Amino acid sequence: MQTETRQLVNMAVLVTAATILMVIVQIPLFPSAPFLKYDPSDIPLLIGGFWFGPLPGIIMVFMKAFFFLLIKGAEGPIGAFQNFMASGSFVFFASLYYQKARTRRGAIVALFLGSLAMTLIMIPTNYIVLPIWGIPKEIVPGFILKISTPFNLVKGLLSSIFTYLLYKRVKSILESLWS
Amino acid sequence: MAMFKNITIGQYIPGSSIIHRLDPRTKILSTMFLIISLFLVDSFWGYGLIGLGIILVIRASEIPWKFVLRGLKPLFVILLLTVSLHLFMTEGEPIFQIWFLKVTREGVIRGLMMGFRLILLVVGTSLLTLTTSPINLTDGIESLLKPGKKIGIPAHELAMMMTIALRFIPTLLEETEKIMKAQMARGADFQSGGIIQRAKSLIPLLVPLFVNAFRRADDLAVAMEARGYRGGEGRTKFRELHFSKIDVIAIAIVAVSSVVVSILF
Repeated sequence: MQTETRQLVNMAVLVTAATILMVIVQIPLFPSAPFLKYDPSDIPLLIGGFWFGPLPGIIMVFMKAFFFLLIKGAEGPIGAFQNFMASGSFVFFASLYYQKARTRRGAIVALFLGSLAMTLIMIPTNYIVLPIWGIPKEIVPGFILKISTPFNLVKGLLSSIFTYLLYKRVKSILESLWS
Repeated sequence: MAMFKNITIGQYIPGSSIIHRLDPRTKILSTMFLIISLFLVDSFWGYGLIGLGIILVIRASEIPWKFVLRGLKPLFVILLLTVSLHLFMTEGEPIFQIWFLKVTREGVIRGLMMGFRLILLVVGTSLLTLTTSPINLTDGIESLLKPGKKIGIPAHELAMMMTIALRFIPTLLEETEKIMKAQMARGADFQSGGIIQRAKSLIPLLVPLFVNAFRRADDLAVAMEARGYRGGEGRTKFRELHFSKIDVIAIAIVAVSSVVVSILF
């Protein structure tokens, strides 16, 4: 049984889970850039995107970015914007592909494409946003090439592995709940 | 182990000042004006005037300085990095030199300006979340997004989901803490180890978290349907938003002053 109300509520709790994961799990990936931390908040959003489609996925990402703004006041609107762009491109492209190919293979390709899309889209985004953080324009390209791009790639692949491992398991739990 | 006790959703500080009583839509729009003018302004005079305006609003909001400045603490490292990068990397007329580090006049100016802009941006936007409760903020966003309905923005559904999420964050956070404790009692280790070790330790956390979340969602969906929830069409509200005279004046002041500051400086 899948009604509109049900989808609404499920999307809301997935955003809740994402927000909680964003706050409590923070793993620095590179010792050279301790302020770039991996958080698994993309996993529930990817699951939601796979389940409901790319547009609901974007809406969930928007809500997560809003909670990011509420909780992490210091990083403010710039951080929330970066958060939205990164998660948004990841979730949107992954669920767009998965919608067309709902198979195990399709999921792997979709997650890979999503990670790639996020990494690529964050290059111009960071190019625009980093100077606003106050990082001088001269060192921005080097920072993007050496630090933020590999970080996004690793982050995307990590979240992809988790989503792949969890999606079917979570889905089967859901189906047992509804029957 | 009370590990998540210090997480607060939004830094809202209740109060009854004039700023608290403004319509949330007024405050959201004013914050947008502030952000835009901070990006357009490029001189000390401009930042000074915006800073003065922000100080006036802080005074009017009766929020203790302690809370306003607390928001800057996590920003300290980034601020230091920004200012020093500009200080040493801007070409121009040198003031003094320590070994290979050359400090230039232009560098000092640019560094200070960037630092100022970042502080103003953070303090200015945190005023919005300090004086507006998350629920009010959600109502404001719903109302502002309503015209977007024609191009397919689901304003009501968005606000509904945000309200549900806001309500569930503390509940699910508590449950997450319980899950972590239960798994630690079984020998799970969340805190130590390398990156791969720590990533792996997430699995026993994620699966029960999802199960819990969906169980909650299921209960809530049944309850909502039983009470006849049918989406936003024709739904009435307990709290209605009203633009008052003060709101109109406030938004006029903010709009005019940010346009003037953006053009002149």
